[in-house]
Amino acid sequence: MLARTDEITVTRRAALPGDPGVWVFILADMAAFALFFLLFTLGRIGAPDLFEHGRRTLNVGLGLANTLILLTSSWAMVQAVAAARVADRIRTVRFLWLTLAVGSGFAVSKIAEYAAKAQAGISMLTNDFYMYYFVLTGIHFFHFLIGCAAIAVTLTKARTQLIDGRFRVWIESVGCYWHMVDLLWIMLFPLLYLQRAA
Amino acid sequence: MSDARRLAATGPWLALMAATLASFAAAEAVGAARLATSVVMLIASFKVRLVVMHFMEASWAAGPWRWALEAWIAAVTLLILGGYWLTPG
Repeated sequence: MLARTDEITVTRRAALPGDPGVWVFILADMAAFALFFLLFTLGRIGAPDLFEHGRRTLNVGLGLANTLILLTSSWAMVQAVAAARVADRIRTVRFLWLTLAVGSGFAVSKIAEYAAKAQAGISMLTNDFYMYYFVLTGIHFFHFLIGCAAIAVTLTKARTQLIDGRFRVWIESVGCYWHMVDLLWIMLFPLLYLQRAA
Repeated sequence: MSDARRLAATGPWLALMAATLASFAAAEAVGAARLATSVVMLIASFKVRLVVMHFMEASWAAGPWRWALEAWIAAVTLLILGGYWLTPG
């Protein structure tokens, strides 16, 4: 028994939580976003005035709110994973609901931001800055929606299935994906909203 | 174990919230644009590392996974900040 506990401890310290396949997907996604950041940066070098003008039209308050929303939702996801690890179904379900409820604020805010841009007659065809703005935030928003769907599936599993080792790998994988959505926004917010022209 | 992990995640979350507000304040209040933007991007990099190490638990992981994540943070920070400083003022 002691040997088995030691083995589990060593394994947990050597590997990341969740399914290794999900981590391959996460790293590939992060690499793709690094490329998007590079393309935006090159675009900004080529047209600093245009990008500064576009940046000034963005709603910084909503960008800040979205950062706080995703950070808090990520924290709730950590709590859900911790509860699943001790097979505490009630806390797992409760924190998954909290993750989803807080996280949904991001969708409300993002849709309000897109609607305001549409009302002002701004689209991704307006200029290069808005093309990058809509493509980068749009791809991120798509990742966010996939995360919401995965959390909703996890909620159903947590309510109806055994909280066993298999479920723990599942919820850890969903949790890591959700944290990736969070960290990508952490870089996107200053990149798009806060880089002031010198 | 679980209680410890819950508590261990709350400290980084508070630090992340505080760092977010601090970077927003720096972006608005610091007069010199290049200094303000550099501070903001470095804080963002610090925040990503907190998420990776504490929420994604990479601080527990050894080997290539952890280094890949650390390399991503360094590369993205360098490319954004490098590009920013190369942009004509």
